[in-house]
Amino acid sequence: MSDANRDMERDEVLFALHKACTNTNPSAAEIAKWVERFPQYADEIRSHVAIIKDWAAREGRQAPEPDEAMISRSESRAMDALHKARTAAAGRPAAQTFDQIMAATGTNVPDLARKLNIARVILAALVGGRMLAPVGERLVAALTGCWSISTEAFEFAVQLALTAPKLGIPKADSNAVVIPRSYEDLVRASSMSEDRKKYWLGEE
Amino acid sequence: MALNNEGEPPPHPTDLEGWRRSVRDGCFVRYPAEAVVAAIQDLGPTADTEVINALALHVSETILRTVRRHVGKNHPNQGADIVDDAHGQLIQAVLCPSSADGKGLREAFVARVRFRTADAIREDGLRRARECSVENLDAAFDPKRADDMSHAREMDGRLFVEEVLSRVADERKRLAFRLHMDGIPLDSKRTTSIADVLGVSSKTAGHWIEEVQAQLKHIAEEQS
Repeated sequence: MSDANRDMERDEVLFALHKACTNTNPSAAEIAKWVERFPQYADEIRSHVAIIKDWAAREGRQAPEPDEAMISRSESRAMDALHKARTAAAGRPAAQTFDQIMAATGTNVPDLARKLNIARVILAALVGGRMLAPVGERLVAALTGCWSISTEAFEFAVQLALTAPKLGIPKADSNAVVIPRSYEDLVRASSMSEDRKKYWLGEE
Repeated sequence: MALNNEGEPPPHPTDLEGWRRSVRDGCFVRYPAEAVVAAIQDLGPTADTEVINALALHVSETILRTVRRHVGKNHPNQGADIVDDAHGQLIQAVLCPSSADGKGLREAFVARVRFRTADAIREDGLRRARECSVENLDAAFDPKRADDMSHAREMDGRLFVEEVLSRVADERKRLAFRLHMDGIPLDSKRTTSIADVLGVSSKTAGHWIEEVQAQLKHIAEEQS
């Protein structure tokens, strides 16, 4: 496993630990289970649990508040980050829609679905602006690979799709409406096998 | 979908007009932070400046207050360096939707902030552990806080223990002592023991606990 992948996996494990312990003080048995499940990150898990238990022990005590100087520094950082993001956006090449990307690469939804072994309805929802961000990491990696585009260009296409969703088939008694769904929702509701669902959800 | 205090759901992340209204009437501050992060990311930094600035500054302050609440003043420079570092990393991630932190903040805001704060505290602990261990804790004491310590001990024994523990840089030793205070056995074949959790022998775990106990006793005697 590369260092970058290891860091990503380590972050996922520790984030899951913090999600599980946001409002709880983990017991010895719970800590032992986390260590047993992810022995490769045992030291990091123990360190983070020690800090979580520090926080739990101080619950109810007066917590430190940021002073004015700290608030002022944070506002400067936020505005600086915004300025840099705006400057970067201004210098970007024109964003492409998914339709433009597929036309340029000679691909289409049915072919991609077959190639990636993923339900067509999921890709159709993505390119049609009916999938809420964020898109699953595995699908982002697979599609940016197929199209040879950057993650940034992919994110642009997602934003463009969301701002101009394609309507579904209108019913006789009502107008067509777009109800965007999350990536996880779409994968779970698809007709793919449980193994493929787990794969696309990053659960294996 | 999560609701604000008045039961009104936040606008869809791409609904610029909806966010304009919520900024105008100020109700955006009551929406879940995840929804505000999602709006900043989906509307993009070049959308309506007034709206994005207001949302970004609100998220920035929410991150700052959450981080500060979790970083004690026992760290060098009262923890301000740790707070500044963690805040800087997270506010940049808010504006980078494809980053892991950017995705984490819109999925579970508080958990992601706590995760990165703990990471920053851990880094600081590793630095401090190289400079001073529990054996020479006295050297790490901030004299300005000695009066607070004495006061804390008079007020509440548990508070005094917390004050002392906050100066033990090695997290394994702190964890061993906390589990000991929770009544977890040092070694056991029937239940989870301190040695199991820490992945060390019961002898080492026992030694760590004794070290912290000795420091507690030593400091208590000095303060009396």
